[in-house]
Amino acid sequence: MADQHDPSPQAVDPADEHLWSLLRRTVHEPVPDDVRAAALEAFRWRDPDAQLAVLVADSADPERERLAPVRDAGQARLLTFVRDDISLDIEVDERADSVDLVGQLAPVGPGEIVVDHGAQVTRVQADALGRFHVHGVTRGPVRLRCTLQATGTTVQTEWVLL
Amino acid sequence: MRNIDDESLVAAAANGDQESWEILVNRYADLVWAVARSFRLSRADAADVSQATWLRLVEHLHDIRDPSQVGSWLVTTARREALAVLRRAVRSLPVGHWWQLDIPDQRAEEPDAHVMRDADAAEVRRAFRRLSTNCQQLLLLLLAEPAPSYSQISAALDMPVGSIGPTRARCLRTLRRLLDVEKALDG
Repeated sequence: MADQHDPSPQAVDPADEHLWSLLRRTVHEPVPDDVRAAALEAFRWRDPDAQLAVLVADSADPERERLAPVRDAGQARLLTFVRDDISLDIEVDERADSVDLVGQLAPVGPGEIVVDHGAQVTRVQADALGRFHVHGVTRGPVRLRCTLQATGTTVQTEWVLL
Repeated sequence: MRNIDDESLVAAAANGDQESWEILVNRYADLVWAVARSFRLSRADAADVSQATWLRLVEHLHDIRDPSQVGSWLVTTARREALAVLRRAVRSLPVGHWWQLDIPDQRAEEPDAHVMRDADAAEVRRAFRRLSTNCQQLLLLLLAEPAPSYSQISAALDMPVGSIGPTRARCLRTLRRLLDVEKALDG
């Protein structure tokens, strides 16, 4: 059944009706205009041709934590993205007002990494062992595009909230 | 135009139709925001959760398993992101387990735009905050506009559809009792 055909949870009991309208005027907080505007803007990031690397493990999300072992509090967050035979491991190091990323590309080899964060784009190179560092990544939704030098293949990670 | 079903909107947006995207956002932006705020996230964290949720929808428009349930997909995604934010915040604390912590309510008090005639707004807010976390969360989601379906609420709270109605009624009964207490204390 489609969502919009489900029974509505709106107040039906007239005694609740009054209380409900009170709540609507006092505790209901409508989505702020800038948040709605940002959601509308999100459509500009649409890229149907992207080869999407899916987040398969995230030490901050036990529901996704299938591949990596459970880690103790205080350890850096670990993320793994996979697309076909390409994988990307990211360690997130917390800084005062940003994060640093330490990454490992597999298959091992050099490549170019482009990071979308905030309104910024940062480019770094992965070395011959597929390792890379990104400094000063803005907190918020972040994604990485990785191009392997050996094959010219580009994969793009899902957005992840850092 | 506003009555187009979700499945058609998702399909059109997947093909690049900006207007369908706008209708989807206007249909669910309030609900996604309510989910993030119902976990007591700060405004900044809730804004990040909301944006991450919408960006994820953009990249999954063409491969969502059941596009007619995109509302439930959105609230499930927002819920996961909100829980991850909470877990990271707690992770950085020195001792204790997250379920033992009383996570402070980071939502700022905001001035009331309306003049309350039938009851004092502050009184209602005070009574509301004395409700259990579960009740506050459920009511905040039910207040989103347009009103969410029970299946969306169920996805957001990981709660069976059948218990939403009875829980809502119980929460409102408790709230009414708390309001009476507030009035008695004021009186």
